[in-house]
Amino acid sequence: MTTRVQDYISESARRFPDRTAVTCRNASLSYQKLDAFGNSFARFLIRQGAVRGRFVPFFMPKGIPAIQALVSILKAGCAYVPIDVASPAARLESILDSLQTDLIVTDRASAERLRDLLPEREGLTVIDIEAFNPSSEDDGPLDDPTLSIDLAYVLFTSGSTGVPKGVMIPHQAIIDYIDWCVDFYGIDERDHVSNHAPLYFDNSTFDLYTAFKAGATLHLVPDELNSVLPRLIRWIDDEGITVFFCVPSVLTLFIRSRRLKAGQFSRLRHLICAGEALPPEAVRYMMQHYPHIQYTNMYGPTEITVDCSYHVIREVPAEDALRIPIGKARPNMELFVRDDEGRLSQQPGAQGELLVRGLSVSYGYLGDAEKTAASFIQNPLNPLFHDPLYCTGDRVEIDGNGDCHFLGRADDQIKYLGYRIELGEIESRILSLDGVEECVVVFDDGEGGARPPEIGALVSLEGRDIAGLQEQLKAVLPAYMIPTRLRLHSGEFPRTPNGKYDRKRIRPQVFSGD
Amino acid sequence: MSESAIRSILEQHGRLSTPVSELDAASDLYNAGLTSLATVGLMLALEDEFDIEFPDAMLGRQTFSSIEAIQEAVEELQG
Repeated sequence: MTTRVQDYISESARRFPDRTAVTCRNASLSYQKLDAFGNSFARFLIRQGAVRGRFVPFFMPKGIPAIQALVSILKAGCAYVPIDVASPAARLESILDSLQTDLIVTDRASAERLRDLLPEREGLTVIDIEAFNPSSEDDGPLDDPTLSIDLAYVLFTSGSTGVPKGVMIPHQAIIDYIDWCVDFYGIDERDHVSNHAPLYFDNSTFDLYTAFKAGATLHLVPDELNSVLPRLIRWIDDEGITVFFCVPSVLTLFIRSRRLKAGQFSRLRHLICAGEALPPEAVRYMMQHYPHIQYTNMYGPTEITVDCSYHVIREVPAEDALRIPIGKARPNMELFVRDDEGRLSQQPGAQGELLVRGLSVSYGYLGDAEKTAASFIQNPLNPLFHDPLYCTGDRVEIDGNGDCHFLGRADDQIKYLGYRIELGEIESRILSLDGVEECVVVFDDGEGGARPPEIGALVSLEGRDIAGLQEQLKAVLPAYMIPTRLRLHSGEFPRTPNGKYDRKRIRPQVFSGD
Repeated sequence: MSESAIRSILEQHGRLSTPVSELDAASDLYNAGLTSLATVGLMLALEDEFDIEFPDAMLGRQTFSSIEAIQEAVEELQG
């Protein structure tokens, strides 16, 4: 029985030692080699001070070394923490502080970047994976006492107070999800699974572990293909991808790019979307042109381990379809709708916030009992034993078939390019800069695809100009969180009668005209 | 083909965080806020405006990295 995710790799190494486990650009690694490297580098990490049950971040761009790092960290009995190499210093620092770690794994180039970002940080051992000589350590299996309830990874999402929140995911949550996915999608060792999502984004969990469990080949999308997405279309065919999982905006861009041709995607069996609302017109186009592919819409926040619901799209959506359902709960997960009166319902017609229970609900936020208690509540239907419900903050409606439909965010948390972002975090970062008096961040969702979504901000400044502010934002926010429209405002900001910023009036002020 | 035509397309489709008028021909557009999403819109608008088609080999970050890089690419495709 598989109880830890690293067992997927050692088991596939035993069954398919010479099959390619992972490939990126022109490099690849067999299951046997990935497993053996993981064993020896794990031993090295332990000698460098990795202690079972602790957190070890890795900081490097996507590539085979990043996969080797995460496998090794798991084998050392630790939980891995992927960190975006484009993170500004403040975010990086706050993540390292909350992990209380003194070890970080990088590649050669990223080690330098890390020193540039945090020149003053003391007591941090930086381990360059490229400098490691695998023959210096035994590569046989380790004595690995990790339990299925131990943590496998921590992923940092955006937090409303400006401090990122670390979502803690145990092995059993991933295994429950992955075992179902491999079975449901019929993934086996002949498959070629792509990995488009960044490793610090939990959609990548699907790609990595369905491939590793099945003994399939994982194809990492190199970063350079992402800056101009249409190249990805040919890459899918060149690599012979059979399972492609992406955020819906990738699909929309494929269609807009005019690069889709008849006869493409001939080997693709599954196209799975998750991470943001899936536009029906994009699905309609794809299903009409590539009817041999099975299209599935999945849904779930990081806090419940990638996806808790799924909807296989059997028929081409009608031209007037407003939404693609996010569907029904997968096995071992259960969905409830909490209506405005606070009642839980699973009946057709129910509308309100989606609450989720089940085996893959995370342990909450690292080192933050208060935020954990606010989002993970005791199931009122089972008051006599520990039974957490995760409150997603997403508004849904249950239709006549019992399928859930995503209606929008319950608060000002937004989805942008697949990232979950609290507008409040951007606001507090901007407000932390010198000379910023007031700032309100607003979001234009593009009216369901009519135009690209955009983040904007209304600011009032004292003794500085917008251009300088723009420059400074790059130092405190990741690129996807930087408002693309900054508007200067003098005088009173529009407010509602009860004194809150009037975002409804601020939004058109920021986004209209030039 | 004029630089001003490219500037006007950038203004409409680049969705930059820095005003196009503040950029010089060599300024890095990705530093000015060009995203992968906007690159596709920019690419399509350039194809429409100049009646060209970017081959896959030119669909790299480099091609769209500055006003002068775009100008060079368009001129190359127009032959």
